[in-house]
Amino acid sequence: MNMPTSDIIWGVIGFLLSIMVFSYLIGDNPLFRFAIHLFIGVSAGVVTVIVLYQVLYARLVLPFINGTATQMVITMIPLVLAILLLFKSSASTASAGNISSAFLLGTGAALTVGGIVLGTLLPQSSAAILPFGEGYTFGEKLEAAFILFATISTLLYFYFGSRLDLGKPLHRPVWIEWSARIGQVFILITLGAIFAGVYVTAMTALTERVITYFQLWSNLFR
Amino acid sequence: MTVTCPKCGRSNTDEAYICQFCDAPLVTYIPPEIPKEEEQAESEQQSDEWLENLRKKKEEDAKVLGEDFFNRFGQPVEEYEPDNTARDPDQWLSMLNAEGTPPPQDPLQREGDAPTPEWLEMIRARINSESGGLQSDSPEEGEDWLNKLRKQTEELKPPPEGLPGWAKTEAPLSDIIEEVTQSEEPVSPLEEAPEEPQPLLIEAEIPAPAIEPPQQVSPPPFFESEAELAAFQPLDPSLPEGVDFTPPPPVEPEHPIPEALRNSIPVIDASQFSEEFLPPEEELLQRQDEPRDKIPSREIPNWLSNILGENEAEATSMSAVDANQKDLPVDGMVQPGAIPGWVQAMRPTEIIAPQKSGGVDTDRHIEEDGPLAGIQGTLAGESTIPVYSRVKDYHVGLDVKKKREENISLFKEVVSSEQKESKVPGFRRARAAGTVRWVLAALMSLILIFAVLRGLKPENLPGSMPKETIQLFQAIGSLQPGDKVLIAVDYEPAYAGEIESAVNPVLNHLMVRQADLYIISTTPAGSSLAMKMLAGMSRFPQPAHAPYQSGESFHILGYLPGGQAGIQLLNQGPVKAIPVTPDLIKTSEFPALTEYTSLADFKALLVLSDQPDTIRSWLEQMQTTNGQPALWAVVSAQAVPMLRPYVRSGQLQGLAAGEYGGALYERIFQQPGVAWGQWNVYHTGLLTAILLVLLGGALNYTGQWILQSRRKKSA
Repeated sequence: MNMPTSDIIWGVIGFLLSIMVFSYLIGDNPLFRFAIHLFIGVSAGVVTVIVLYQVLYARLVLPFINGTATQMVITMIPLVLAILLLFKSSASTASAGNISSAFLLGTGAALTVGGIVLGTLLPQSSAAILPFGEGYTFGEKLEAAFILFATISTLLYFYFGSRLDLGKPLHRPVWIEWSARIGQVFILITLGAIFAGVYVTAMTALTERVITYFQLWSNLFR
Repeated sequence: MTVTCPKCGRSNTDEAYICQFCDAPLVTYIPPEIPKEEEQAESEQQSDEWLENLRKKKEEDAKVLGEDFFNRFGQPVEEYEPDNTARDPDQWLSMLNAEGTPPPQDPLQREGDAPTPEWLEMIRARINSESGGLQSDSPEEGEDWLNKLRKQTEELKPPPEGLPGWAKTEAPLSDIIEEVTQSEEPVSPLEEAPEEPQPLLIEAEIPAPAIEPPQQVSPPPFFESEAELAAFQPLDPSLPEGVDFTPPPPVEPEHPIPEALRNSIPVIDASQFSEEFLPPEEELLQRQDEPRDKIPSREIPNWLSNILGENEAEATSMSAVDANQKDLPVDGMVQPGAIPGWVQAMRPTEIIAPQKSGGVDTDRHIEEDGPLAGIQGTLAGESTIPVYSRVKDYHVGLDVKKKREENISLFKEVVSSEQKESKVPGFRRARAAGTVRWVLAALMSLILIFAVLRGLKPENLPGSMPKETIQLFQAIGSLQPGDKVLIAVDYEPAYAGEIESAVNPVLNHLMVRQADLYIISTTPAGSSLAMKMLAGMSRFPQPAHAPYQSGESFHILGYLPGGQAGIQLLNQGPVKAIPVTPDLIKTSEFPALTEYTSLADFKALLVLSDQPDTIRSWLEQMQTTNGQPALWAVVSAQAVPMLRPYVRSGQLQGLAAGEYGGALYERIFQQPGVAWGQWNVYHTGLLTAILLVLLGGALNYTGQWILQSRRKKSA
């Protein structure tokens, strides 16, 4: 399969940059730092262009050019808030941007809390309870019971209340203690799965790079 | 009843002490000195006889002086019977006389029997030196020298009309008073010492009359010769003859003392004065009549000047000063002085009133200056002016106990330790660590190269199929041509290799189903990654779909800012959320999009992400209507454990994860793609990594076991 010249050039540049990143195996070195700085710079440039085109121009300029009066008035609100936020760059005028910061924090908190309650807690609780009803097989119910037990034991692991008995050190109730130990096992399994996923992701990236450069060099030296 | 003024001759009320017309004093009062009880008891025994003689002498003087004396001082002593016996020594003296032996009728009969007292010898010498002696052994002769004294007194008197020389002032009185007020130094009441009679400060201004010792007293001038003086011998050495302690009448009113005032006038007890310090009568008269240095009228307050008149006020002040000067102790004793009658009349209570029992009379302030000089019990004006002394220092600090100090020091120690950079307990790196790392890297590379060289045909694909991947395949398979599918590219460039290998078969399937694709991104770099991803579709080994052209089959809408808020805005429609594409094309100009296109108009939303939180944000913020849009996800392998619950709950209707998910989807779709071509290398590398992990763990455990066994042996 013949590769376009542009792909070969960009492939060679990519190969060199990949070698620079791999050079971190021998420790921090200028090649690694050069590659990192180059990636950060390119990313910042891309982000700047995207923001200028799709945020500032599209949302703050266009409404005043082509928008109606209502759109202009509505656009004034984020414009003023954005200008006030610029005052945060100076310590002496930072207080002027508190309104914008408060608006951002308040909106973000409201969205997060509402989303967690309505999008995670209630649906997950419902999903944990429903298999115990009708229409589910015994295996599904057993699976739901196992998942419920794992969930409760994991939550009990984070129960740090203790009881004081005479002659004994502070300790949790026995049933909580055993449930917490079981929950600790589930936590270890979960963390192991996440670590395995990370490792698999890294192995996938390595595999993709090895195959890509193998194909590149194959095309170059064919 | 009226009282006639001796100065102007006009009548005044009986209760008046001062003439209403000329401010001349109408009464004369001499305060008695109240002896203490012990002294009085002792003196009672010693003065029985001479008091009796004194009474006799008074009777003789009454005969000599005639009615004039009694018109001035009232009835004779024998007839005076006040209620208060303590104030009238004559009463109890008369009682003693009634009980004791009656005194001799003629005191001169005892003249030769008694020895001559020392003070009388001095008087005699003075008389001899001044006048050459007088014949006083007969009443007639006594009348002659008294007349002389009266003449001398008349000569020394100031003229009644006009102001005296010492009473004249040049400056206005008010100005002078202001100067005096300003010059006064404040005295703190806190520093005020227990009040005792202080020596008068006015001594420096007014020369006190020379109090000559008894040896230097010259005989009175009415003794013409030494013989007369020698003949004038007192009858009793304890009773000085011719000395009358009653106040001399320099300007006495010619009317009797009012009855009300008379009752308050105590009669002086002559027994309290020692005869050694009693000056002769002539000297007393001279002292009273001799011109004195005037007190400046500026020391007299306005109110007193208005009442008395300037001349009288100054005269009064001078009299008071003179009286105080006469009270100066001479060899430890007190001499009586002449005080103006009106002042004496104003101070009966404070003189007679007994002292408070059981306490020191500390509130008796004696006026030292001004017209009230010598009066006890006045309110010291300067005493009311506060003097601020240094305020006592109070310790305001905390009363910190030892235990609290320990806690504070412990807290400070904890805080200071937090600020210090603690050394991280390091571990000694094995010398072989670097070598092992390089060996492992070389080994892994060789194995992967070997896998690549072996061929790209997938081998050992898993036989089981994940449920969520099958659901995704079935959902895409149910799409009709032209169904709009929204694709959110929310992964980082570092995960592009994994995500692209997983999403390529899914995109291929969507293209086969001829879905209308709209690509957005919540990350700024998402648009670029989307274009790269779609461009790579052309490299599919066996493309099973018609070529997809940008703007025809797929549309890149661009960046959706705001994170969760942007997703909420997207619920209102893609055109409102993203008005312009990265190419500055309005999204409303796309054929299938209008301003009224909502999120529910899309069949599904396919999210490409490497983080579970991104998927969760879409799950929580996206609003569905009648199950549309369905949420599908193609994620990295590291996000799968966190997304399984959402797949189980039905919130996530399809999922393909990583290289493994892509390879399985290609296997289901029967369209080999990137995942299929990388599977052998991926599978070989993953197997090698697992073996290396196990081998490394085994070596580490073995090494630790060997080290422990060696330590045990060496121990």
